Amino acid sequence: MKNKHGRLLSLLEALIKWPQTGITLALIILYMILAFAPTEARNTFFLPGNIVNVIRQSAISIVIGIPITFTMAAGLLDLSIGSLACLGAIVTCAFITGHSSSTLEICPQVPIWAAVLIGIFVTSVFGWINGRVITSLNLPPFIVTLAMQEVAKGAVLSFSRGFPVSNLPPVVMGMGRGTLLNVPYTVYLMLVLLAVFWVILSKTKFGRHVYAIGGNTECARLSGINVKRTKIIIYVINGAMACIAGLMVSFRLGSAQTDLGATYGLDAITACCLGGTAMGGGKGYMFGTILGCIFLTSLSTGFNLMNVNAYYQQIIKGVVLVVAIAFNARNGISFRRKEKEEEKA
Amino acid sequence: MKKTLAILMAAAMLTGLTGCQSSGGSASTTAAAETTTAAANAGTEAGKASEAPAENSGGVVADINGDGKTTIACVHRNLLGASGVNFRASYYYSAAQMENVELLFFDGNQDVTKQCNYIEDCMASKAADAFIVWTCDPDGIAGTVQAAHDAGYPIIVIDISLQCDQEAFVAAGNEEMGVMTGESAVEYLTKKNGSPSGTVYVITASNQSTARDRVAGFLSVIEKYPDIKVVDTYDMPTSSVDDGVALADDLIQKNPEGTIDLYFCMNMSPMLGLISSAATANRTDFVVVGGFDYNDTFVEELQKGEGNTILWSFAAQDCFKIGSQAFELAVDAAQGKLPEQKEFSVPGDLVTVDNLDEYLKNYNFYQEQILQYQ
Repeated sequence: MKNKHGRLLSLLEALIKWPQTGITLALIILYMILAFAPTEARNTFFLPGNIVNVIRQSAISIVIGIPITFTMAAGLLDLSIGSLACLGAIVTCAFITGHSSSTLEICPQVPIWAAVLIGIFVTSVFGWINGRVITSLNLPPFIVTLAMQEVAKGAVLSFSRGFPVSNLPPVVMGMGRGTLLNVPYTVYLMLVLLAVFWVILSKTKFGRHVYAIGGNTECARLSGINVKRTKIIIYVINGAMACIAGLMVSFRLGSAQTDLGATYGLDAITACCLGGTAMGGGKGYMFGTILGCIFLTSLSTGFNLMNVNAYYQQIIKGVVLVVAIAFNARNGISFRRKEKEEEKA
Repeated sequence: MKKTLAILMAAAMLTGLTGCQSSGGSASTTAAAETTTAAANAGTEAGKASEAPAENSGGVVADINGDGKTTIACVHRNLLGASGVNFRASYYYSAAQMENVELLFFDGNQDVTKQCNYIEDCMASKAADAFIVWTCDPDGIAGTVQAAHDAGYPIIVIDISLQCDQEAFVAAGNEEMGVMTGESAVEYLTKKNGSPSGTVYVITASNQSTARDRVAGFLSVIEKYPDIKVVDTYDMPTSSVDDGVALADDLIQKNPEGTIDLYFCMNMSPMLGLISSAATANRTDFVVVGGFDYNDTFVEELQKGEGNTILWSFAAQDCFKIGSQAFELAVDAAQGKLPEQKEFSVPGDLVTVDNLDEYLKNYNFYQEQILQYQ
């Protein structure tokens, strides 16, 4: 009996220690609220069509959330990712259509695959500059990426002259709007990227380097890890993934809008924090980020279905974020305290 | 070598930042603003710095900085979309048509604090003789604009109204465009249901006066028909395209097939969202109206022809005319000629499949003008 009681306690302890406990609880509470919501919202939210809708909307934030998990796990930050998404979408769509704006300024028209590669290359270069400036000049990532955010916005406006890039061919819109077995193509793309980057983060030397740098940069450097190169690679990945996320939205809309991606960066950081990724680095959970993205999308969709005023939605999002981070931080503190006690013993 | 490269890149970034913010500029100096001098300096020597500024009857001081030129400071909300681009182009176009007129252009980049700083900088340095204000936050900027007005600067407000003293307010006839959109909606519902009846969903933004006026105009028509029911209203506080797409996805789920005949959108983003969401979900059971700005996607949709698109019509404000008229009023006011009326309404267009070609002919003519002044 005592043994059984002990096992239950240790299971409970493990559950509390689990970094995704907070976000899982939040998701369960949210779904329970939706399950008891006014009839119309309840019936609609759990329909298969709406589940696909939530996953489709989450796909974009997950694609941004993946590299932000890397970034935060390494103790870094990237505020420029939303602007880079917009830049990548504008550049790619301009090369697809052969026009940089609706004012018919001509830029070379290339095949779709080449245009996508050009877009990814451009945003990766911006990411590389981020990494290079941060590592070589030892500047805070917050400042550098904030500056890059403005540079990228300016580049978008210069290139597009403020106009969206439209007239995308139907095949491109098909990629953004099409489905296979009622699941949008964008969700499949997200799953592939997720699988690839999950393997990279958890099963490769590079992934271990990311955690090591986030845990203690100096220790990582002394143990032979090329810290600068790892950080630069992280920002290059950010640039490339930003472009892909921007294209997912633009291909669906049929145009690349100049105000796209404004909140991507902060939303992704929010999702990562909700999922247990530490702001200070050393801890990063891809699964937690997915849960965080799904939570934020479900919250917004559920409240829209319940007709909750958008102003209140923002307040609730803020409160949830603070509660989740406080929960994670408290877990972390008690966990570390216990570890120290065990070490002493 | 690596450090040098990094320093060079950082310098390039900062240069880019300054360049890109040429419109945004630095909050601390007017030197960061774009400046243009109108059609040569064929002007006169009148109003030299030594002369005392003349005060007109309205309390507005003509040629405040006494440099003999009329300098108009345009404080812009953002540089995005048709309105952001066309307002700006219209100032440059108008300035180039006038003699001895100078233009200072500031982009607030959606930040009301920046906008306030620009106005205060211009007042402190006496760099401008009048202001044109297109704000991103009417409440946030009202105090600063009032202070500028109290200091004798003529104020011309465009697009979004301000609760403070001003010489003139120039905007699209938002309410009139709302009425036109309402009539277009009634036409569709009559065609679909055999009589003016059906269900309507309204997307508004109660924090924006323009949206409120558009909705008021729309509803003033709809309310005349008791069989047309406004099923629900959604208040969307932001105008970002991402939020528009997300909302549209949710509305399509919330309102299953056959429940809504028509969506009214107070601006472009939910309309773009609904068009793409309907295409994704293969929904053709409703139409959308509204928009209130030019957008290539709207034109493409209408070009598909009736029955092949969910876009029934879109209203488009004439930003180029609004900007030109505001600039002329600002120059006149700076020179002491205050307008007799306070409010100017520039009519917009309602674009449908039937008048699309004619509309595009006019629109493209303006675009050619705009291209020269970008």
